[in-house]
Amino acid sequence: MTGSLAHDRLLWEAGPRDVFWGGRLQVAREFKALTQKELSEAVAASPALVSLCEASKKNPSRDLVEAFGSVLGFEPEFFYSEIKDVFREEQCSFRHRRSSPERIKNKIRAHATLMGLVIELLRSSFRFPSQDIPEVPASLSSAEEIEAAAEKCRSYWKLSLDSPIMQVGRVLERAGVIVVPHLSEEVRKVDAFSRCGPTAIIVLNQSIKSTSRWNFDIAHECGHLVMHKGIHTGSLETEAAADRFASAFLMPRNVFAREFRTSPSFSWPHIFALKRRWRTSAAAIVRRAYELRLLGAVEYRKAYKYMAWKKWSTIGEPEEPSFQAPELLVTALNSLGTKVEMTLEALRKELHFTAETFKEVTGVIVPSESNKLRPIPFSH
Amino acid sequence: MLQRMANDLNPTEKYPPLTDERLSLIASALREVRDTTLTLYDPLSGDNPWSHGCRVYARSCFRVKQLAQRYAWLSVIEEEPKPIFTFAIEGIPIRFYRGSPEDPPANYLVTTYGELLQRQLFKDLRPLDKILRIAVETDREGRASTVKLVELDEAGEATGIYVIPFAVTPSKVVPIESKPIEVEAPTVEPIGTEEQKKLEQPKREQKK
Repeated sequence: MTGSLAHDRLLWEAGPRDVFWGGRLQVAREFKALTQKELSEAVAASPALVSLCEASKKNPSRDLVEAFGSVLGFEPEFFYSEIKDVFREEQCSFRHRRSSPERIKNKIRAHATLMGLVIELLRSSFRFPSQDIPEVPASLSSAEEIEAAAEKCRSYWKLSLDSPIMQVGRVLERAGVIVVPHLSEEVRKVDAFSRCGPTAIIVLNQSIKSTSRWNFDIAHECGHLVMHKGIHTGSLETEAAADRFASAFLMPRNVFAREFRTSPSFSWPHIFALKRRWRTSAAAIVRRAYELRLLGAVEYRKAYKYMAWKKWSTIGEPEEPSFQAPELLVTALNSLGTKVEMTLEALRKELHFTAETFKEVTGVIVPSESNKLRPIPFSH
Repeated sequence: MLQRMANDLNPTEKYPPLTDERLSLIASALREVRDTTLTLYDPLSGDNPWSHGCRVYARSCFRVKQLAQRYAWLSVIEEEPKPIFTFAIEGIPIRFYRGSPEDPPANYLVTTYGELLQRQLFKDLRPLDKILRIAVETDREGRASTVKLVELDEAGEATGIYVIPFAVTPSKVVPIESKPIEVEAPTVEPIGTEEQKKLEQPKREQKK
């Protein structure tokens, strides 16, 4: 029996109000980074039963649903409505995907799916910027096409090709992409995540304390959204293409080359002057100079050796730029209860998240009766 | 031979990569090597002008190779036979010798194999039909007095000479930088009550 037929049968047996949606259980479980076996042990059920429930082939008893909710951080009602916009594998891109375990990737995808639910509900009260991302496919092997794609993208958003972008996150947010700044702390192997779909989303990893890298991560994910719609990403080629796009988007070739050449020879003070201006890491600047043949291979290797010796990739580079924290989601959540009737607590209740899960998904603490809304401060 | 006017060649005009800073770096290095090596000259131990010249030449080549590792714009061109030493500033080949710019030694008048190859690689960098040499002139004691860039035509005639200044610091003149782009904050507008009702209408109908 196919999944949809199984689901139709459950619908017929149980009636529309009591339909258990296995997909929701899977998302909740993956968000908590549990295996089916771990979940089954936690709720005192067999792994086979959990598997059947997730496949919507079995309608679990009410007490089991409550147990699921209790372990996973959701109210039982959470499992009784459909997720219309499931984040599918081919829509998602992970930076550092190759080295990240499947469980971590599933957790991030589940996190983004839950965030999608929050946004979907917020859309009934707020008008978010409409999605406006240009589609510019580029050959993975053609640096010229990727450079041109980044330049077209800048032109499309009316961003001059001669200037650094002060707030790259805002560019994406104005184009209707939701930027979420908080992958959970344990997810250190993934720099960023993006999803291209009805709700376009970019999730950053705040545990990596480098604002210049966040800027680059946003531009990298922008590259996936612009060039790789409907393409499976994660290969070395797609990641390299997105990296090249990010470099070209943040540091357009002509003006960058002109400014790089203002110093007659390679010097770190000059690299850091460029870093302050272009708001990207010194590593990205050195790489860009090498890509554009402004630096020879020997010079490039020496610079990288020096950076490795300084351990900048692990402890962070000096002179990090200021970072404009994402605003769309925070603004909408802050307006709840003031500019619109819906309160934060009402939103949480309608989503059927527990307060803890709501905080983990959105980064916002639901205030108790006496407290006001307190968003988690964005740490730099 | 007519004495040429010094500085009748503007290198950056004809060869933009040959900036004063770059040429000065090379010239200063050649002068320093020559002057340092001179202090080691010991005729009582058997040194003679020929051995001194070889020593200065080998050390000068070594110094330029070291600089080439440090500066991306500077490279050393592979030459056969090996004693020929040619370096390039952003692809423009140059050789150096000790002597007068108006009267280069005969073996410095020929275009080397490396230079030929380099011309083919940088066909768009005209005029490369001329060859470039750096002439290190010395005083009576053998110290480097002036270092000049010499442009020679195919007949070996100097068509341009430029006195390379020593110790030129990087230019303080920087091009005007464009203003960074300040992106306005995205807006999230509350939906009006009427609009909200419209949005909720299909949901209610679905529930019914």
